Amino acid sequence: MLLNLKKRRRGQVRAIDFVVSLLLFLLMLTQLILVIINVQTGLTTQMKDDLSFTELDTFGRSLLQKEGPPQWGYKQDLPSSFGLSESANLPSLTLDASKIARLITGTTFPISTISGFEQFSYDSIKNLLSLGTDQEFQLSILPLLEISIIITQENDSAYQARVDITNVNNLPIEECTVSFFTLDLTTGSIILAGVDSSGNDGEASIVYINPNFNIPDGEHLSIVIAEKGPLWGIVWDSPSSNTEDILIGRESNAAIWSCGLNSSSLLISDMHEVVETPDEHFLSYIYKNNQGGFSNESITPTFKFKANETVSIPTNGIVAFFSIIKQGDIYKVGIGTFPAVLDNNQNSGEFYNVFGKVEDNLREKTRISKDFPVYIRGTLMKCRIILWSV
Amino acid sequence: MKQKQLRLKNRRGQLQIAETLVSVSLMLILALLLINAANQVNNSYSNTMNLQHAASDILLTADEAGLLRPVVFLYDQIDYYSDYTANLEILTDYIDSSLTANIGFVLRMRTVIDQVVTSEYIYLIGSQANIAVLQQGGEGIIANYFAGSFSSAIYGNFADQYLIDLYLWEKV
Repeated sequence: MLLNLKKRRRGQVRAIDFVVSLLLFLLMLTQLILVIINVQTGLTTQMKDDLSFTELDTFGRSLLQKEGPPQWGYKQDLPSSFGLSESANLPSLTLDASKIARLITGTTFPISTISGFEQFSYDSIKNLLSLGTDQEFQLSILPLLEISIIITQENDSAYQARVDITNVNNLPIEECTVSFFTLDLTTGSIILAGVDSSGNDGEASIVYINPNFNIPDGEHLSIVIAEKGPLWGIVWDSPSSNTEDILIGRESNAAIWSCGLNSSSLLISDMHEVVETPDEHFLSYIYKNNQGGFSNESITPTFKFKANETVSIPTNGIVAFFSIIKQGDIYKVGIGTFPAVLDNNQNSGEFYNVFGKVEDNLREKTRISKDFPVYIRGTLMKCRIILWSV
Repeated sequence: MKQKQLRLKNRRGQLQIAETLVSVSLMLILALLLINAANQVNNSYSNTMNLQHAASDILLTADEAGLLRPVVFLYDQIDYYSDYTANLEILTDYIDSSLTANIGFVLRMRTVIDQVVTSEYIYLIGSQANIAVLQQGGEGIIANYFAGSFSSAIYGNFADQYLIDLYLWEKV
């Protein structure tokens, strides 16, 4: 009887079998739905990122690899097409410093007012490059070496300047040639105070004598240029005993700008915001000479608050220029470089603004950035382009 | 008797449904695996494109800045060993500075003889960890570049050709 019952039940299903298979099925179905939702979200983001990346790469190359009309950077008027490349025939990202100079914005006075050279506005570049109204971008150009400086007073006439040199990833850079200059703000003269080489920790230092022997604690700047082949970086500061009297960079409210007139001539223009005529006005500059060292010059312009000076420089190498005015006990020092450093650091007050939108837009949907290694006037820099849609 | 047969029929029908459900579940598992694999391929494609562009830009700009050819020319010249190491260090610093901290690299080269690229690699630069990854078969993202025909006032002329490979990895 029992055997018969077992025989009859063979090939049949119990309720538990059905329940288990149903649960397994439901579990897998739920998993599949979850994975599909997950993948779909991922794919949408991915497609958006892919689109942005492709767009960013194309947009970056239209900025950096197109040339526009030949040598438009030397002309006062703006061209009807745009490109920062020195030559569109070059496969590398080799940029023209004079074209970059036409992107400098946010100076105290419009550049065209003091130099006659028109500047590109952000909207005009967007139009020329056919960037949609829902898209914004930002362009910065930075040296590859980052330097921090500390100046300490050793005694009445001697100071120590110590620098730390790192790359953009904060790793110390050794064996850099580090040139220390002092800029005497009372005369505008620049002196090469010494040269050191950075050690394993990226540190270099010198002890220098106050360049202004007549005045104890005389107002001066210490300027440091570090080089390693075509890599470079620059920094400056004044000793703490001077800081109350010296307004540097953006704090000075000076507009200072420079642009190539041809491959060997540079126009340096400056203008200060003044109520009364300043006591002194100097225009000083340091440039890399053809022998591999640095040369420097100081000019006393005709006008006490503005100047347009043409100077001769070699085809390659960096130029750093300083516009100094003295008003009573206060020194105001505007600083610029050629090639221009377009810096994102709003607090540094030392370099030109980035080009493009600077404020964070809360409505932005995606933000994507890319660093392009660029070659400018025989030196290597980094160009960061950020693109986002709103 | 009829009732018993009907019950038996119902049970067999339930068994068929249960079998079907198990089969469908197995198919769903297979579908899940396939979707996951496709998603991973898609993700890595975007990273690959990004890194490949970066590697090409680094090599092109390095050559324009005159950083590649002195290293290639001097690598086996004992007389210029200190120049070689100095140039190599500049090239390393340049590549390091052009990459974000999470990307590793190895630059290596092969000789080109009679327009044929030899199979033997000569390592140039990269951290030991990165070289180990390459030796263990981690190919990373690669960009190729030919360098040759270098002439210098200091080192003289050089017409040999080398194929430079730059490998990039996203560090784990």
